[in-house]
Amino acid sequence: FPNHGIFLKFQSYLDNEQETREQIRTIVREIEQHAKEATIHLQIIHSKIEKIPSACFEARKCFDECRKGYEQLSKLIPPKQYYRYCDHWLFITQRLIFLISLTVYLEAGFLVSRETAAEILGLQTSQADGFHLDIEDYLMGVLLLASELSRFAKNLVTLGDYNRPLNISQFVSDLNSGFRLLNLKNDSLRKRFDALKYDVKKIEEVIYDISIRGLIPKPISMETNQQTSEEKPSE
Amino acid sequence: VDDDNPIICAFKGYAKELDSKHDRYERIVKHSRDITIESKRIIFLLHTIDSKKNNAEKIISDAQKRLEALCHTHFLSIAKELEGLDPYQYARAYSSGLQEFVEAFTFCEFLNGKTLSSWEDLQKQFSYKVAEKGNIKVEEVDKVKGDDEEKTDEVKEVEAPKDETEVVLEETKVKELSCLIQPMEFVLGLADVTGEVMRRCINSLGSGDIEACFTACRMLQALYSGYLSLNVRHRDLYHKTQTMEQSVLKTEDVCYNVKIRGGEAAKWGTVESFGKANFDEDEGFYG
Repeated sequence: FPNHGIFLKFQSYLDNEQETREQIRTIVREIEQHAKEATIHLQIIHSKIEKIPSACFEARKCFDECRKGYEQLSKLIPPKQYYRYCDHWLFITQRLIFLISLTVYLEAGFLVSRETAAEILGLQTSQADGFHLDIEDYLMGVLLLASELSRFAKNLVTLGDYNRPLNISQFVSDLNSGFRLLNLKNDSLRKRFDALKYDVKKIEEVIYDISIRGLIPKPISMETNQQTSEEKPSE
Repeated sequence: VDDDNPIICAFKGYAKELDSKHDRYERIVKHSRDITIESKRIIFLLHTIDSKKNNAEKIISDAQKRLEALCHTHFLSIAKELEGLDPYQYARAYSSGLQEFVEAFTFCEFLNGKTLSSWEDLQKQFSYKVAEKGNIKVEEVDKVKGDDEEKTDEVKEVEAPKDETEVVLEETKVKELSCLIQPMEFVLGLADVTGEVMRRCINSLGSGDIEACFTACRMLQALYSGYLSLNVRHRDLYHKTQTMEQSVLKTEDVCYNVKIRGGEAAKWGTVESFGKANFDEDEGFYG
């Protein structure tokens, strides 16, 4: 016959879990606050090109704060229970990967690797090593970057920079071909990937607009990347 | 595709990682489906217990064997897939199979007239010690030891070869595997068993086994009050508790009729009121 102890034990199991979840929520809220600050700092890129380096600098300070939050989280989560609680920080991690990849792209013009991104947040890349950055979260963050860059490309034109959109176009189309190599399941990542083609299209339209008006300074070459970063101080 | 492009190179690696994740998930889902099918069959088998035919002992030992076989085959395979990984990552892939198994397992225990195991007891059964060379041995469970007196000879036969493997194990390296049972999954599976107990109650009425009707009713009342004692907000659990209430009321009605009219009359009296509802209702289909 059912022993009532089962239900007592189950209730105390639930209570314990609830408590852990509440602690997680507190930490995640803090991380979210720092991530929001970084977001605000990085919004400046759409209106003031010259402030990009300082925005990146400020954003990186916020990432350092976030790393502290992740450190607390990793202490709180028992080993091999990452996926038990991960829905609490999944969204903010994706957001942060987006912000980091944006910062790195603005600073250096390439896609941040999963390893580097994880390092910035103080996370591992492999599940076996502990609290880690899930591959799907990383990819989701990268997809968010593509949308932001399509907006950035447009605003660059508005601000008179006709060079950098070409770079962005190349970069996003590389991302697009990268994502085509993946076999995605029919999940949220897949849905977000379906939106990537619109980002590609938007950027291509920007390139089209500036090229028919003869505003493209030089044909796309390998140097463009370096050139833009050299031009920055003189602007 | 440009192989020198760093983005392309990185994504080739990501593709591999994603594929292996998805493949593992699919493999576990397949095991889960097989577990579901076999569990449903075991439950069906257990419903064929009929006091007139006096076949309870044979069927129960049969069902126990088949349940144990599931632990050794599909659940072990899942445990192997989970080796070294975070078990919560793939818990959803085998949740339906696990719940169905819990249902069959507890139903069998109920019919055997035993106290129901908790998820901790079951978790022990799902913990395996595997020799590196592939010799398999299920960890000895305390609970099984305690039940030996009641159990039939077959169980003891099963245990004998275990001792042999133990000798082998001392020579080879042993690694421990386990298939995680989340308490929530267990409790959801346990809730499903009420439907079976209710069905059992009505079947017993048909075959004139009045005592079984009352046993089923007491069981359901005890379970129901257990579920009422829980303080959780969980959608599935809420629905299941509501369905459980219906089952409890039906069995209580059966018992009431038996008491007031005697077994023979209650059988006729309940044909219209329970016959239909009984067959309409199947787990997983309640709105």
